[in-house]
Amino acid sequence: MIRQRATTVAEWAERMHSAEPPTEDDVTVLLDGRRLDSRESIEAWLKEVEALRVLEAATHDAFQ
Amino acid sequence: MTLSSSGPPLDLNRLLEVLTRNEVDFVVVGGSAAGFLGASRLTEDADCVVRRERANLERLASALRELHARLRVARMSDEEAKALPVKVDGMMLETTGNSTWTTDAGPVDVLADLKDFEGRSVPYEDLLTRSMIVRGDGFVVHVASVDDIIAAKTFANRDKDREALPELLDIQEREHSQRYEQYESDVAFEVHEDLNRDIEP
Repeated sequence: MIRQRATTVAEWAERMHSAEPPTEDDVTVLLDGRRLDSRESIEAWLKEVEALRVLEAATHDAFQ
Repeated sequence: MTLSSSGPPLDLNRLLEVLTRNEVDFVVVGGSAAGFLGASRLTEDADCVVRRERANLERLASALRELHARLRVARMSDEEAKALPVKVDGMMLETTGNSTWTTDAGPVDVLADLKDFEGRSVPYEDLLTRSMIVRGDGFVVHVASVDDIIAAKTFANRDKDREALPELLDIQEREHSQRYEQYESDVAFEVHEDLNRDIEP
């Protein structure tokens, strides 16, 4: 049974108290399509992000 | 299939307040938006499509840090996720399409876009033009239109999406008929105003 649209955030938030927990297929997905569904995949990604940070900092310094 | 790792329950009011106070540009989509529109089949994670501009992603990172966000990973407990060496910043968010988080205000999914019926990307800017506004205590939030939510769920076509569609189609019919009634009322008002103008001396 559908209800009327909520009129305030408070009313909306109250409705969400009865919601089901998220499902296991909701995982982080990178822009290149890789799914971060294991500790190994997350650690590999974090290393790549750190390398990008270093590269960005170096590029920024080079133009100062 | 619910998630085994547990974290705090969704506190939507707090989550939306923190995002807006940090000036994050976002539109609420998915099951939580369906809850706003009146659907009864709800999942607890708040789905948000964000503007993919670096400055906005930095503001989002700031909001996520304030909420002590940690990645939500299947078969990993919240305690294990907290121990991952994740530094939340704009650079990191820029590499993700969809990212799933547990926060002190409950589960949050950050999305790069929605998909239309054919799977084409619908970014924040397009969703915003069709969105509705809902007021909180000192802030406003944009919620995606039922048409955009239906298109994304139709394309995703998972069991949970197919189960949610009948209610969403009922809501769509209601929204369209209310919009038509409003249009008729506006037209009647304009005609009345024109007639009044014509008979004025």
